[in-house]
Amino acid sequence: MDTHRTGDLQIDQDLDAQRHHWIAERVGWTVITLVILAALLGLFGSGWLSEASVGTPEGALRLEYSRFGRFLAPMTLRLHLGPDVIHEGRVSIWLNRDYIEAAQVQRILPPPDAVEARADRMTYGLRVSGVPTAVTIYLEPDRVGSLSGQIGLAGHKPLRFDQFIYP
Amino acid sequence: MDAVLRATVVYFFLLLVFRIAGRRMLSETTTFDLVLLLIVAEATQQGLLGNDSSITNAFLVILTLIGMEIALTALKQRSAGIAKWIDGVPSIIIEDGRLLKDRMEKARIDEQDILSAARTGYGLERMDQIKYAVLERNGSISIIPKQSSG
Repeated sequence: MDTHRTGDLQIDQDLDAQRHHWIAERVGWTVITLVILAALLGLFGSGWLSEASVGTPEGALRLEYSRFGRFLAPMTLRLHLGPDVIHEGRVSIWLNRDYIEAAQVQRILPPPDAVEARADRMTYGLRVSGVPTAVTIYLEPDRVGSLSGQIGLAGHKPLRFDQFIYP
Repeated sequence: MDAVLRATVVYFFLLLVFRIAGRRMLSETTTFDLVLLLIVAEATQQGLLGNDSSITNAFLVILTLIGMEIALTALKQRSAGIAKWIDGVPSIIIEDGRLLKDRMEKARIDEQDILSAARTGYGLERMDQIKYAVLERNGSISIIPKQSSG
């Protein structure tokens, strides 16, 4: 079939290309629907797929975190403390340095009253009352990709967690 | 560097998304469509500039986008195949007075769209006055009226 003329019309109609376009459109719509569903489920952060927690076997420490985050988008870590970890109204927790530098800590609640910097970690001293309580850390990651974090009580082994930050 | 990378990715993403949305999306001109387009522009801008409000960043983004546009236009000149993929091809939807229903369905056009185009552009009254109707590459419908006899 002459693609340059159809009946009286001089037109460059390419039916094969047109068919391929329409197939590609349908594939595209399916992909869009899947991406939207995945986002609703939390694949890109803030949702069911993204919520995770890790804790020590005895239950003294439990961290709630998001598996997925987005660049410069606010994120929180919540560390639940059991009563046994609090001594004389104080607790010291530490976070590894690499994580802090990538994740940009904005605020810690309750605000720490002592901060100690070491080569590989920052230790925060906090005053808490002697009931099970939680420390909330507000973050804004400014690095894209995988983040590896360690958080724990001063002098103890840390809880490890991994996150992926979308650009 | 990331200004250029971001702008490039956003350019191709928008190209892809608007091609998937279909040609009619480009030519709809209701108020709502205009508002939607403006919102898309806003969302794009946020992603392009991020936290960086410097004019350097703005200039780099603008240059990258225009540069991509120039490169793609040059590519389209050289290769008809690529031009067809990026711009699409025109499609006859009424041939010699006959409605090509399956094409209309695939392109998501109904008779009202064709009649509306016939009234707006050519002052035609009825479907039987239309000889050819073509869905152009930019999503508009062009009409060739039947020659009136005598």
